[in-house]
Amino acid sequence: MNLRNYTLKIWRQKDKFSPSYLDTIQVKDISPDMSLLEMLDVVNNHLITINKEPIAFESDCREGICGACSIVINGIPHGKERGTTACQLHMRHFEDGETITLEPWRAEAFIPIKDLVVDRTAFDRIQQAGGYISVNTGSAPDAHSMLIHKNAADEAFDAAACIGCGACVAACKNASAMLFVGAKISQLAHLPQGDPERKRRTNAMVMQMEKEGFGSCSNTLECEAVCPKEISTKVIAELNWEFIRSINN
Amino acid sequence: MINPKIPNGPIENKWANYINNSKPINHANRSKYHIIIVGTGLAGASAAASLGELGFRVSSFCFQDSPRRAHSIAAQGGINAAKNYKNDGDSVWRLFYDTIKGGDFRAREANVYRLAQLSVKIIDHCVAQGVPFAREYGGLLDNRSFGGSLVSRTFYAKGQTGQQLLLGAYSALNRQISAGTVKSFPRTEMQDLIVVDGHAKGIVARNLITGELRAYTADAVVLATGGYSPAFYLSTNAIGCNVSATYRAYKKGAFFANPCYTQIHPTCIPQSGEHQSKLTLMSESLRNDGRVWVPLMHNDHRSAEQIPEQERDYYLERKYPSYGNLAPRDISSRAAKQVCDDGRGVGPGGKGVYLDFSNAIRRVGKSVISARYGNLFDMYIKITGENPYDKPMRIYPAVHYTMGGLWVDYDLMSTVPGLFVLGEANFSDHGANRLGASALMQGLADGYFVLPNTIAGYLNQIKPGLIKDNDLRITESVDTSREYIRRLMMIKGTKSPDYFHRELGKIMWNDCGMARTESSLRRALSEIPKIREAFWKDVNIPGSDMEFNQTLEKANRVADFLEFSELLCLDALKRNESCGGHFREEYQTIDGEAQRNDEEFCHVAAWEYKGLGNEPVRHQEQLKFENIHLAQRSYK
Amino acid sequence: MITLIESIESKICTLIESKISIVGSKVIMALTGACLTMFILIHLLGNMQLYAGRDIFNSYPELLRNFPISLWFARILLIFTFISHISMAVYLERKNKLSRIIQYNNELIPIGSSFASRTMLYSGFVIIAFVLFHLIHLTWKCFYVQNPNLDLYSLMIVSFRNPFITIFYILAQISLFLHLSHGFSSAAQTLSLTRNKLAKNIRLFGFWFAFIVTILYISIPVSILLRVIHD
Ligand SMILES: Cc1cc2nc3c(=O)[nH]c(=O)nc-3n(C[C@H](O)[C@H](O)[C@H](O)COP(=O)(O)OP(=O)(O)OC[C@H]3O[C@@H](n4cnc5c(N)ncnc54)[C@H](O)[C@@H]3O)c2cc1C
Ligand code: HEM
Ligand code: FES
Repeated sequence: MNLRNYTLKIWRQKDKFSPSYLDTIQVKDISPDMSLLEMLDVVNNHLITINKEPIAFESDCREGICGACSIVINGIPHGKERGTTACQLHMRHFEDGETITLEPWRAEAFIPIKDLVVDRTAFDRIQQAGGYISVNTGSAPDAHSMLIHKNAADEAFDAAACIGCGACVAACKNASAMLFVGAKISQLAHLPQGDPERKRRTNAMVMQMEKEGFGSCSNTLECEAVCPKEISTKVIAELNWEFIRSINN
Repeated sequence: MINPKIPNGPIENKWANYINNSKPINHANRSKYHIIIVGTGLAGASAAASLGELGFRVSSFCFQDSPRRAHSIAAQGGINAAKNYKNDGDSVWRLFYDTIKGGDFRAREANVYRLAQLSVKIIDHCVAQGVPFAREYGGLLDNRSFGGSLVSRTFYAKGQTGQQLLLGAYSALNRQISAGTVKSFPRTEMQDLIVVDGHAKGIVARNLITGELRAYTADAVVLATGGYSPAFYLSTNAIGCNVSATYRAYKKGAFFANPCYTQIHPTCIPQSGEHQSKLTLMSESLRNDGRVWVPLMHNDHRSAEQIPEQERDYYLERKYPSYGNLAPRDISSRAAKQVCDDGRGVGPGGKGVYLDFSNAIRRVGKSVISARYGNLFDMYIKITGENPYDKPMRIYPAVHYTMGGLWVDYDLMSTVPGLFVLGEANFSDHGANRLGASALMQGLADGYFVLPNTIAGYLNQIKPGLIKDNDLRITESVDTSREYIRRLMMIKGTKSPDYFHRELGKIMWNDCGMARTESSLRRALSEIPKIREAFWKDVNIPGSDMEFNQTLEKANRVADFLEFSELLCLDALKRNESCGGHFREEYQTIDGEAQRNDEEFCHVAAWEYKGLGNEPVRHQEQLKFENIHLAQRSYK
Repeated sequence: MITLIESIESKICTLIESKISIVGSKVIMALTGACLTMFILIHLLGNMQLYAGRDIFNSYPELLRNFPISLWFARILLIFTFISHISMAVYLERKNKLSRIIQYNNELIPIGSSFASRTMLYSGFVIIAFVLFHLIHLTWKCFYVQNPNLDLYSLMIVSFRNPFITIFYILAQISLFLHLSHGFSSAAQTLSLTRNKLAKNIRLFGFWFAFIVTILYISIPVSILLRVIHD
């Protein structure tokens, strides 16, 4: 197999109090069948054997569903392949000898932890503000007591496919979280179960989003382009609609 | 003999009787009880949310940065429920029967029956939470069929069912966090269980950002920490999945049951090289429309489309005409191994079989297939660079799920009073083999419905808030954990934790994988301690333990795998029979099927820790089949 | 004085944050943007009368002056929308800058956004500059004080025979094109008119709308320069 070599330029940062710098690392003999993260594993294993600090980066499922991996690759969150997370990006998409720049998500709401790892709990707090339907365990009626139009269910699903990775924020010039918030609001707005709380939910989530320090939406559509689940900015329109509807609340 | 405390009465009424006879905790007193729940997967998140709703004070822990990233998020295919919405003869009884049979008669009847009963309520609850299950044009829920069952009872949300269910549970958890009943501790990893006077009273946990170790005390501890598949290094599990929480509880006195019951999933993307960090599952649901085959000829190097129909061996359809491609996982996996061992495998190294959709595409059209499996196909394209719409997929079995886990009684309480275990982390419902789409069902049943009803039984017996954080016994536990971590940090060797993990994985897969023999297991048992020794001499962890240190996290987990794997192999060695996912080559029928030994092994093996280097003690829980007749499993 | 201004400013900001939020602020941008777009269209209709000849064109301002109350009302409304639009733009821009203080080392590579969408603030500033110039130039006729009796038609002809003015005018129109080509669909999105499958069409429509408006505006100086319109 033809193995390849790369130059990595990586954002290193010890912790949130320390300044960051770009580290240059040469890597050799990388198989095109490796994923980008597996390439980083190789680098890290080597760094550990020579007692250097390995590159901190986040991953868990490594199949594009948990949303843990979060790297800006050559200026594009999750890299240039559409609909792909960093963990699913394979080295066959990089030319031999290429320089690959790896940076963390940058946003004031995402506090640096180390190297490529940032704190995304702001997302959790937005969800805690209202991203749920209030139903206690055991109190639900039979699932078939409520008919839901297939289209509505499908649209709710499309929005619910969000993996909460934060690429939308990372890619947005305003570090706006509207796609992320819109996805949840849209999911629940399409379903009759979500109706009773829709106004409260929208208000609470929008206010929390603002409090966390995310920017506003300039509708540049960058988020939709980098979203690994290809969630449409339609959910932002829906969020806007839910917001406008909730004004007289 | 250990006592599972199964309630009396006919199986249909056991759970109802149990609830009728239980004494709930007075509403006003609930907030006095503090309950720790480790894990935010389906089992942990649903339990935390439900206990929070009841008014208990709950602390919820996970090692990921957010509860939503628990490994349950990755489940693809679906969740079973005995709703009989398809009118194809499904019932609670049939789900119960299928699960017992699928588990090769190694599960506890009473627990499985309860699971089948509760399955119905899970779907109702999830729909009410806004989980967007797939629907039909009439607005009703759609179902599909899954391996090991003749009826359609699997509810699904495209190939992302686990994600949708987990996000539902996560939203319920969020609601409780915002209500103040649940406190969330993400990026906090449990290091040890605190046992005081024989009762579980808290955990020691490490803040993964700052490295701070501290004790969290509670009146009961719940572990919902998932399975231990990465003992094999390569598996379909997330790379963070670990055995640490359950293994350390085991070292503190909780019995570990049936560790050798591991499931090898038949449809995964084959390994592409040494560098591989994990394997990717292609949902079993693909076998609804895909046909599995290999060339009839040995070492046939033609590409798939050049092999004419009559030179293909659809071996599952041939061997198991009634279940065909939907034969259960253990059986399909072994069949794949057999044809590959026979020299008829496809792809690099001959380690693969075809999963072919061309028939289905011809029958229902590409768009229907894409609507059903689009995201799975995309995933396959991304990983392999090949397009399954044109070419058959190549698949191979991989470790996927672990039926074994901490032993629990009917209340889901382990042998340490006050320590409850839910989800994949316990051993209870799947016997020796889990059927597709029942792990999600079990996790949610445990968390939403079982634990909230059984935990009161224990809490009623104790006084809340007895142990204080500054209790000497608590600070001692923290010191022990600190000392352990210090020892790891001090090794300062030359190799990465991954290196040892990979070495371990090779042994486990080769000697304790799809087919095990006495000699292979003995070999593993002699090799594993060597790797463990080498690990404790030569692992290197750069940096300090008082900071974000992923190498330390990894080393910490690998250290436990290196001890636990021995237990796994020992259990496999002592179980002199083949059943479900545990296949001992010595024990097979003439046509190569698993041969159980009901005389001697119709029991649960529950291991008690006796100190490192000492052989653990094997206890037994006899399994009684009063409702289903013990029979040889047949899917022909 | 400065502290007073600052405290008022911070009060306003808190008020916006708690009552309107970033989502509501954008709705205001979109509504005012839509009003301004209407104005641009009406203004264009007026300008197009230039092709109908001197008399008709000259009678158009007369016509407006016959309704002084409506005219003042419209002017005040216009100024108000302009100020709201601009202040919201500046407010949001400041907030957005604060949401990523330390930038990436490598600039982000755009893969979904258009040039126009990333430069709304700059095209907006060119528009203000142009509007001010426009007022000084054609409304207050500051450059032509020696010549107070010049009628509007002649004024146009004289002005646009000057290539510098024409070039500036055209550049300003290009800014307007950029601003509108994104602004149209952006406002539709903000006002949530894109919740259906039409989103792509609206984007396309917005682009062509902006294009045609701009071409028509530009056609005037160009026609004058090329003597299609003459004295
Ligand atoms: C690829 C794949 C597909 C699957 N598809 C299906 C399917 O279609 N249908 C089905 O029924 N089942 C499926 N399964 C199985 C099913 O997903 C799992 O068995 C189930 O989700 C386990 O849930 P859980 O809640 O027990 O644990 P998990 O979801 O694994 O959660 C474990 C939790 O414990 C936490 N944790 C672990 N250790 C520690 C520690 N030391 N300290 C703190 N926290 C800790 C983790 O942070 C996590 O939150 C699939 C599994 C895989 C791998
Ligand atoms: C005739 C003049 C103008 C018209 C017709 C106009 C129209 C619009 C429209 C329709 C939008 C889209 C609103 C939305 O995204 O919801 C917009 C956005 C914007 N306008 Fe204007 N505008 C004009 C003048 C200005 C001026 C003078 C500025 C000064 C700075 C300006 C700055 C902006 C900015 C920055 C945005 C983008 C805001 C964002 O997306 O965050 N505009 N404009
Ligand atoms: S690691 Fe889970 S999405 Fe990439």
